[in-house]
Amino acid sequence: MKNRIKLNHESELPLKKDQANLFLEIVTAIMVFLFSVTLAGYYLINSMAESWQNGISGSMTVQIMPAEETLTEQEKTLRLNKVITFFENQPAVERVLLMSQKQKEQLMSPWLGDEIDINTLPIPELLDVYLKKGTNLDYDKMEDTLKEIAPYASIDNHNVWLHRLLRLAGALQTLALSVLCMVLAAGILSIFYAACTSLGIHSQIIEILHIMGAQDDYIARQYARRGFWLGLASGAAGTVITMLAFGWLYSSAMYLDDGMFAHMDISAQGWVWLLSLPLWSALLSMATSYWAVRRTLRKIM
Amino acid sequence: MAAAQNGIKEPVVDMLNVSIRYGSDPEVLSDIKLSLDKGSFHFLTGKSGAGKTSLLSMMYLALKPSRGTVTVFGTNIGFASRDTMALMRRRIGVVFQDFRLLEHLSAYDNVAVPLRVRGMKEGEIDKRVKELLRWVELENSMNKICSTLSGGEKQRIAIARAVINQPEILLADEPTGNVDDDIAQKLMKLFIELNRLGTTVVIATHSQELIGRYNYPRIHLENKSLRVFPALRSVLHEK
Repeated sequence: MKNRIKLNHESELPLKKDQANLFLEIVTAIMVFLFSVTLAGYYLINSMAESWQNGISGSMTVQIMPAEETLTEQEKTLRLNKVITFFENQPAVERVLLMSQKQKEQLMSPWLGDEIDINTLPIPELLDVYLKKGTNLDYDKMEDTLKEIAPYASIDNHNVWLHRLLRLAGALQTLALSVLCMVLAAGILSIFYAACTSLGIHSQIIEILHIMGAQDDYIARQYARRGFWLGLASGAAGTVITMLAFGWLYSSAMYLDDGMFAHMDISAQGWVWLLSLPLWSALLSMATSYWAVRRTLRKIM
Repeated sequence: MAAAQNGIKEPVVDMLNVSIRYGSDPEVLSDIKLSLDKGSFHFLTGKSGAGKTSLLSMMYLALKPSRGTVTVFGTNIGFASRDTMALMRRRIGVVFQDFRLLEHLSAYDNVAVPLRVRGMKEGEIDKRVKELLRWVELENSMNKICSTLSGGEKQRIAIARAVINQPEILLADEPTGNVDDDIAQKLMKLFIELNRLGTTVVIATHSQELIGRYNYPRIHLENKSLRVFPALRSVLHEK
């Protein structure tokens, strides 16, 4: 034992025993949790907006209101077929689907219940018109032509609604990015002031190290090492809490099998960022500790 | 450099019209002129509060003068950068009266600090530290935490730490104050041996017995000023 070389010697600065460590670990874990939840929110909004855009911008809905009571059933069917043919002949249209009676019943049942016979109600005919990718249509001109075939028909191209929805998604993403910046700033400030406090606590040891010829870099590297491990441990704790929270959220969202939130998902890029957060937290903590010590030593000693 | 080529000794420490003042208090030292040649050996004396610690602090570059210039190893410390000062300090060994050891570390790790600061490899550090701890008769206590050691043991560790780098200047504040006579003589022999190898040594002491036993010149501080007395036996020889 006596003749062994001590390869892993004790650090001159007893940073592991700092009382501020526990505070910093908890704060960093909370910051990583907030950061990852916000980042996940950013990616979820992104995937939803993309799915809305892909699903809605490539289609339009045509409504034929049953306002002309004078038409016979045969005339109504003839008019409907003319409208379908009109759209099928458009070069930009990929396919046209007529909504069946059963589909309309399903659509109305949340509001009217299952008991009511919708045949007795003035329900419009609905067509889903799917457009070819990358086509630009003059919707107003098309609607004018359509009205010559069916005067009570109208086109809903979803663009206004989609535009508003995407604007909301954009605003939410900007908000998420602002929160990420603020969490990052709060984390950096916490690490910075913890390092400054620790320098004050260990000022006598630091003075001795300086007298022994230690450069500021030697002292800052000890803080950077402590910062790395502290950031890694706290980051891992924060990420584990986030994953547990996600698990809980996903189990709650399992019953939402359709509608607006059906495409709520985090992309592969998002998962890479989320799972690598402990490493980023460690690197940030290391760099901030190093910079804080260098800056403070230069100023006060 | 030119002085060295002409056979003139360049001083390792040169103080010119140096004054020290802490805040708005009166000056502790005033208009000090002192030049220490390479390889010289001096005792530093003076009553408590005479300014010995301040003078030593300037020599180990922990304190800059309020007035005047201090030049160490040919560099004016008033204009030296932080990194330059750190590199200069590695050439200076200091023994403090209150030891100033890192109490949470072992005797071994305390002595190893100046070598680790220089970035020396652990294998070489191990060899040097163990050899020196053996010399100061602390090889059996090398793994003990400093806070558990006696005053005498701490003092020997402080001295081992100061000399492990084979410094060009060794500054010691009451280095034999807490050890018995045998150890004190052994430590003085170590200082003399280092001095023989070219180290400039300054030992601050109140011990007239120590000054009388070893024949070296004395820097005496009194009334904010400084006087250098030659070695006693050389004065007697001249008479």
